[in-house]
Amino acid sequence: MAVVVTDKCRDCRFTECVTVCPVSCFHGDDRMLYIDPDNCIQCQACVPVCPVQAIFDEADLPPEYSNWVAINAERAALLPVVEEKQAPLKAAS
Amino acid sequence: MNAPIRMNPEIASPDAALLNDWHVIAFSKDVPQGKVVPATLLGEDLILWRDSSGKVHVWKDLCIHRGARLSKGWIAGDTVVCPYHGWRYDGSAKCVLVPAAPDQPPPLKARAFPHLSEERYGMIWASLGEPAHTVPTFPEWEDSAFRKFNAGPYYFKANGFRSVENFIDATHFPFVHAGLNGLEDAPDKLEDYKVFEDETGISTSEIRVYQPYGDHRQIAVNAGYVYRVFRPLVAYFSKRVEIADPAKAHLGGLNDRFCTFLTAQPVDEVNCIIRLCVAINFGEDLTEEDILRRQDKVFSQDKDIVETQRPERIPVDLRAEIHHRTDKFGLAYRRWLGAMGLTYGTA
Repeated sequence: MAVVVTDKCRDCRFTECVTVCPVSCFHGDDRMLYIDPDNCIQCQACVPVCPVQAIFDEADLPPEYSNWVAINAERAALLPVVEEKQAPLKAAS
Repeated sequence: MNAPIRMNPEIASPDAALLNDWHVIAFSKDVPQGKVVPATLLGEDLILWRDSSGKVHVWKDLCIHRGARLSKGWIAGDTVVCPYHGWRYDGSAKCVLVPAAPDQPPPLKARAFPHLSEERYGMIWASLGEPAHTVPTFPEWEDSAFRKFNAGPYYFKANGFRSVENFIDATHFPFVHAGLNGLEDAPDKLEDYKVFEDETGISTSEIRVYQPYGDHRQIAVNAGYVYRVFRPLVAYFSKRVEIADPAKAHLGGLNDRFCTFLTAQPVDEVNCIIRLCVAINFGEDLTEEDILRRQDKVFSQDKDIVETQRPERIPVDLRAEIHHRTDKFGLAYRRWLGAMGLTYGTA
């Protein structure tokens, strides 16, 4: 069990989440962020700070996003850690 | 070969990483010649004594003859005398006299159980095993610009790791040390800081806080803490203190620092004894009494809170309790303890 980023983050990527994560478990590509489930300590600090409510605890994940559990694990393993706030993407403006 | 004997075989066994480490078990000044001093380390009862050459010996608190406590004995002619039958053990741990048979050499098997010991920073360090590391270096110890003082001992009915974690926590100041190290009504917002790990331990970048009575001069300062944990039960901070009131700034210097080297003696899993060596490079007029008064106050406030923490043993599963971003260093400490595979004193 971990916390999961869903596709509501895509092309938005405000990255408020990375500034509150105590374990630096966010990884990112050009479009969105993903959580490494092995490092996530499920503190849920990122959930309330996301301006677009893209982040859910796995226990509260709406069924339509259930595929994002595996996607987070797969993508996080391949991508670099994002530790610092980034400029939001165009769609977020 | 005599196996080490535990007084109570039911107590938890300490991990090798703790057995093969150095722990402070007394201040040097508390072990004068002519005295047998008891101590307990990781559940093991010990004695300390100083021979006429000044060397300190750390032995199990046990006479092999009939299992009596040597801590109830006394020193005679550079030997420890067992209080039961008067057997005498010299500095090599060998029995040199059985009073009931004074004309015979004592049996070879009649020996005390010595452990390794060292004296550093006014403290006596002991290891129950084979130390895998040297005694940590207190950076200011050799620097003559710093005056040094030992403070404590502070007896915490609390887990040693919880007590160390409290020492390296910069966000409890406004509440536990209100009026001294922070303001309850105006707690500092903590800026993000970095955590580092290398072969000498874990450390932080500088963490800045405002302190109304931040050092022994009883004035408000802007303080910058750099924390370091050398070993699981040995930690340190260097605090840069800058007088907050510009009109009084000339009373201090740009390099004023107050450093604290802390050791926690793990008596057992849920009791520890804190001892400090503090180093200060300002305030020549401050007396030892001024310095100890503030230390005693701060650590009695810490004791009151740390003794309430549940579970008593520190959780090393990072999903237990909750870690905030501002707890990054405490979190790194728990992760570091967990990576050592520690089970003794952890939950």
